[in-house]
Amino acid sequence: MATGTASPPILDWIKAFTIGRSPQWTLIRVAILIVVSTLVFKYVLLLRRIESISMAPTLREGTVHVVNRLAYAGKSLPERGDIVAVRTSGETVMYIKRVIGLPGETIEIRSGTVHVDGAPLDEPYLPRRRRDWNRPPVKLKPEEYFVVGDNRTMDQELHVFGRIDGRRIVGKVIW
Amino acid sequence: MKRRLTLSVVLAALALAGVLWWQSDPEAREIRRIQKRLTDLAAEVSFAEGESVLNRLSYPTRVAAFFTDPTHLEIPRDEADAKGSYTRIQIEQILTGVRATRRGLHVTFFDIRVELTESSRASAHLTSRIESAGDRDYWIQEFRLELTRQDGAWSIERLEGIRTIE
Repeated sequence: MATGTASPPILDWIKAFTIGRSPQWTLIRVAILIVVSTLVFKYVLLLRRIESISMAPTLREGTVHVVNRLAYAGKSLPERGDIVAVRTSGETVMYIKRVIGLPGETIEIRSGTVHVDGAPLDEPYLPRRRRDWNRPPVKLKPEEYFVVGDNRTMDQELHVFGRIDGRRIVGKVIW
Repeated sequence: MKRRLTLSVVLAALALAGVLWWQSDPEAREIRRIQKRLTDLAAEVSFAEGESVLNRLSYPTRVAAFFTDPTHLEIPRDEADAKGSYTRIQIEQILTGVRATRRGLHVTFFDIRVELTESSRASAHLTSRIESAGDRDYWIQEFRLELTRQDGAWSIERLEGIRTIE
């Protein structure tokens, strides 16, 4: 005659829910999940928290966004209007800016309006109220892009914007 | 089961060998020394309100000790414009000014990339985040440095600010 006490059904359910029917397979699944997550968040997606107001109102300070590192892999290049992450000496600190000028173009900001090769640029993503920023014409080199934040209501002197080397672009902000 | 155990032991041994090799590589060790030296510089440059008088008085000498005499500085910023060759005394004077005009300063270096050009010369590229007490904004600045080994310690002989976006 067998003796002993059966475990309560709730404990069985917790055990089945947390480690599954086969602990060995659960362990393998966890290991695969860790490896895949590590690879995805190291080589494909980057999570970045905005720590400045330069991209407001599109990207608000304190919010977290996803950068797709593979957006410009292969033959695809940054396009006008893309929001991109620009690295510094590494990827711990990055600038998040919008591309408004492409290689070879001449960019000028006149009374708050961006001109590309002399023609005014339509920027529907900008708030109506903006400051009268001015930047003399600058001709971009073959590998250069012109980037700027969406917050044009702040003082021009407090806003970091201008030419960047295209090799500094880490990826495109997708969310 | 036995095969799996053998595989685990082999993998662990390989990982250990890799770590030991990396630790014993003289170039990697020297690079880590330079990175630590620069991290120490960031800590020395930083100061808070209410520090002791001794700390405050020794600040310029402690920080200037990280630089050669003279040092070439190129910092094209309105707030801290410096361009040219500066003697140790001039650097101490600049630091005295920095200490006197700010209530506190917090400097952090990120992504310190070091390259040994010769056995006693190296170049470094880093990003700094500089926060001044009382200011809501902070200053992000990339620097390129040239270092030389003098009496066993690495000293900065050239410090150049780089504009990420210009």
